[in-house]
Amino acid sequence: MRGFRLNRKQKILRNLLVCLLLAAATYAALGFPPYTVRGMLERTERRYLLSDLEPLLVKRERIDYSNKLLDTHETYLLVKTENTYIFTKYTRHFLAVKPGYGDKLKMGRDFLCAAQGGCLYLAGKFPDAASAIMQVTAEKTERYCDKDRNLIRTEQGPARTFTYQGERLGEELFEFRYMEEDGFPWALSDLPESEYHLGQAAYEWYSTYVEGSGGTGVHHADLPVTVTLYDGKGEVLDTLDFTISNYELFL
Amino acid sequence: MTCHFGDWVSAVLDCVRFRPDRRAIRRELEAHYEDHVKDLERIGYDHKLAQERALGAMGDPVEVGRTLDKVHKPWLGWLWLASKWGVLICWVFLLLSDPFWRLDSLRPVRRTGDYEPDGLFSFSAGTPERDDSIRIARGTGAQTVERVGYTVSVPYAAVWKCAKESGGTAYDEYWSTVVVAVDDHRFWDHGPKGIWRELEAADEHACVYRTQWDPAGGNFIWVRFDADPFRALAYFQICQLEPPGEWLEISYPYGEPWSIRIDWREAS
Repeated sequence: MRGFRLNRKQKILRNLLVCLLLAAATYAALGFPPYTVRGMLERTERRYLLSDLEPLLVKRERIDYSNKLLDTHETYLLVKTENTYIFTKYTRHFLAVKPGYGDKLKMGRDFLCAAQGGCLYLAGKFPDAASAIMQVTAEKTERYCDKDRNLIRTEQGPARTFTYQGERLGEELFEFRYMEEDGFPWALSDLPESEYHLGQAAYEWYSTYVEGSGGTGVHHADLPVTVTLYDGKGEVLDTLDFTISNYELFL
Repeated sequence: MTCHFGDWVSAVLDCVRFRPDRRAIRRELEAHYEDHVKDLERIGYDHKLAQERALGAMGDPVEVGRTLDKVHKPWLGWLWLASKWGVLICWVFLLLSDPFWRLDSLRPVRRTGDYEPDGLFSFSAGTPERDDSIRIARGTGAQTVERVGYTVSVPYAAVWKCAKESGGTAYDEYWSTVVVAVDDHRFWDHGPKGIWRELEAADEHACVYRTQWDPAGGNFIWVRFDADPFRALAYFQICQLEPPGEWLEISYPYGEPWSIRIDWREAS
């Protein structure tokens, strides 16, 4: 007796069904990655117990890592709900999509300032603010570690305040550009310190040297930030004081 | 097989537009022809005559070829090949996505009972903190919180007292364990992973303990995470030298802020 044989159309249908099942299994195995901004917002809502997230800023970047076969795509999201602001990113490499480093990037109530791609973004409810000026102060603070004696010596250098005029990107968003998008802060050659931009200062002025070994690193520092908001007549509306990590400014 | 049959097959195959099928068609026609030749030989035909008769019975090659071309339609053939490659590619993608690691998270986590049946959980057996600690208080969250389809609760909290000595001075150290549970019906979900580093704890002495590490103290340390498809458990600890007060409150400040209060009661 001959067994049941499928004709070509039936085989195509069977194969398509198998493809669908395998694709669904792959999607599940990858953790149901979000590929769209809407999907990323929903994932962010669930990760942080928030609802009705509204995007204020969506930025996409494509990175070609030399050790990876395919490009990496990063999507940065600055979102808000009521008085909570979140800055997060999703990284897609081939089919896998992962949320930002350390599970989150930044979260704030009432307002949030985050750095990305050479810009500082300030999100908050400033309906009457027509313009804004941001001042970030960096102070050269070099550390020298003596491993043998377990000592850390700190040398303070001059402080410098960087001032930036804000550009309104939306009702609740100002952008302050402090360096060109590709203005990578390392590889500074012979640039005098007085000509450093904020990204370079955040990287170069917070060095840690391990004496004897020649090892160096960049230590963490919170740089004081003051934002002054002005109304249409140029009068001061409000002043915000907070800090920003030097790592954010150059990474 | 005579060269006549070879010509006949070639003429048939020339009519079949879907080239990938030609080899299989050739094999089938050859098998059919050879069977026929053998049948004729069995009933007494000599080999050459059997070949001629069998070839004659195969019919007009162009007619046969056209009929076969109708059956082996190119679009159907290419679609079939594509679907075969599709299955193969889907298998490769599935294996690359490493589906086996997910099987670990299918083991059910605790839902009732004692969350620290073997003592202060974050220390291994044999350490003084584990062996000498006494559970002096227990509690559970007074309320549950519903947010975006999740139910947040505190099913277990306890205070452990550990007698210590330093430089000849005896003192007590207090370890509080708080288990925060999040339940949902979305098996595909991974739970609100972002909140674990944003929770805060506060007690009646107005001490605030934060999940963001502070070397000066006052830390609400996230030490363990267990999850199955429907429940996530995060274990936190607070270490302090003062005995805890009457209550502890766990709170989350973002979105629609919430808090869950734990009233300590003496452990039996």
